[in-house]
Amino acid sequence: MSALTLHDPMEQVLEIQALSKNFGRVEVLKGISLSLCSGEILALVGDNGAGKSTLLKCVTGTITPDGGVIRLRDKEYLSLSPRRSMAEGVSAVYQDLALVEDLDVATNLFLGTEPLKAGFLVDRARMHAEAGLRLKELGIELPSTRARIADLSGGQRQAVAIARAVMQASGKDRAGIVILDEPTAAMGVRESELVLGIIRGLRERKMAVLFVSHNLPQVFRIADRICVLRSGEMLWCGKTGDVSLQDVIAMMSGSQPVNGENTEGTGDE
Amino acid sequence: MNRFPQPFWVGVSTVALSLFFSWLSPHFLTGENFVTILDQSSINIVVAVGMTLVIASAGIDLSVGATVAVCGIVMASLIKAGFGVLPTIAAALLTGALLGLLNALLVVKLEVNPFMATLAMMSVVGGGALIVTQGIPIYGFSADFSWIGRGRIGGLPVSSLLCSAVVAAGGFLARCTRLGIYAAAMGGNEEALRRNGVSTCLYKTVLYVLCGVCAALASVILTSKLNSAEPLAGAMAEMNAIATAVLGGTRIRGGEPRIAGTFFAGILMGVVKNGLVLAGISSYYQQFVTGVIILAAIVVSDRSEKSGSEKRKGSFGR
Repeated sequence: MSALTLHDPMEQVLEIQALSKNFGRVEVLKGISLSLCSGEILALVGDNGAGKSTLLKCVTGTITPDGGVIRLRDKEYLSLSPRRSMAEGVSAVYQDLALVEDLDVATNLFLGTEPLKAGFLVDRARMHAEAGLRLKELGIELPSTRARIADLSGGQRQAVAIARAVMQASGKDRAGIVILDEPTAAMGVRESELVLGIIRGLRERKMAVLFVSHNLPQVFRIADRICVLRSGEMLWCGKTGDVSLQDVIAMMSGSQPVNGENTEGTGDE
Repeated sequence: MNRFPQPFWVGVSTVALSLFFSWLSPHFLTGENFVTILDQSSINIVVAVGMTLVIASAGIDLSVGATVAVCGIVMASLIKAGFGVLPTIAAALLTGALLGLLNALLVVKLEVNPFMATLAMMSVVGGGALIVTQGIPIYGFSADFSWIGRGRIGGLPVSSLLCSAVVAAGGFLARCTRLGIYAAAMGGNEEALRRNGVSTCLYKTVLYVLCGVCAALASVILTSKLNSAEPLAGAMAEMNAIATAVLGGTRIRGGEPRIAGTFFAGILMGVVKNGLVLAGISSYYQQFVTGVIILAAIVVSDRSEKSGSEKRKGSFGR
């Protein structure tokens, strides 16, 4: 088994129940519930201010929810810290990618977890060898693990950020959840295809992918399920094949009443 | 021009200036003068190594000159009180470390801008040195202590050997340990480092403490070389150290620490000062020429950064 492959197929790794969050008087999340399985790509869609980012931040531990439960595999949390979330195997790639341009690919992949020899010397040879192996496993082609991030294209940088997230989320007793916030934003067609290919590869590796995107055609191409958020409420959550692009747009914009299967929805229903 | 790293151009400039000065003065291109340049450059290089690490992390330490002065006074006081050489040096290093720690607390805990925090510390510490000494130098130390600044081992000045050891240690830290990687990462994207679970507060503190220790070590060399501790001893040390670090290729906005570059830049500045003196050029010109060199280095560094940035923009849709 590869180092980046884990979990039984379709094991539920994340379950959110009745999650709520207020910022002052504004209800940003209103009893949101959803679940995510390994080997699944779940897209979270909604207009600006729908609560997508807040929901992601609750899962990554950067925001403390006011109510509800987050279950990661068999552990239940009322709130998570970023460190706890990461330790449980939740890793996020935000739009800024959080890469250090001056450093090379391998160093960015292992940032914070550099392999050491003699207890304090960074084992660069091992770091590059392992980085090359991990990238190959994920089907990511880069000029070299010694290439500086500054010298990579937008798509290549996104690929490195995703690879790092996968490495952080993978491992024994880890949930293997990769959160991607607008992974193809501001990218050309070729670059987007590169990134979408990598995301598809994560499904094959039984990683659980939760991603946010405004690009609905892309969402329909790669997501197994779609959850539609509007004004902090879960309007609809179901299989991609059970809804049309027009329906999702209508739900997001509020121009059409919700219909069809709502498999999870809000917790206070 | 940007195909070669900045330390390469520093090396080329050093050779070119050496040839120029040897044309101006027959005394320049001699082995003994080269040793003299090493000796004279050692204090600046030692301070600049610590400064390089701090600058790499997108910080700065303007208080190193004041630290040099205070550490000298601490040593002078202890030697006058009858303490031995080793405890005296240890006390100086500890003083430098504590002042570095104080800088770090201001920057990390109180979140004061590093420039302002260390500028204030420069005044506080420098002012403290003047108050304690009343502006009067303390002089007359033992031969054992003076040996550090004036002695030789195998024909090489002890100061330049100490300087080489500091450069080697700095290069080792920068290249082989997490501290070097995290210094560059803090300079490039501190938030990225934080998100990866690294305590940036801890590593930043270590960098400022190391910078303080380097300044203290420079003070040991300077005080023993002058055989006196002066409250204004470290004047302009911070500016020279910053210039040396930037000239050596470490970006002023933070990034990869280039310790080897700092060493060569220190030698270049030493060559300029020494060459101007041997050529009989007024000391007023020395400051002027040093300023021109610093300006050139910053322009080159800035152009290199912009060129890299444009290249990245161009490659975005590759």
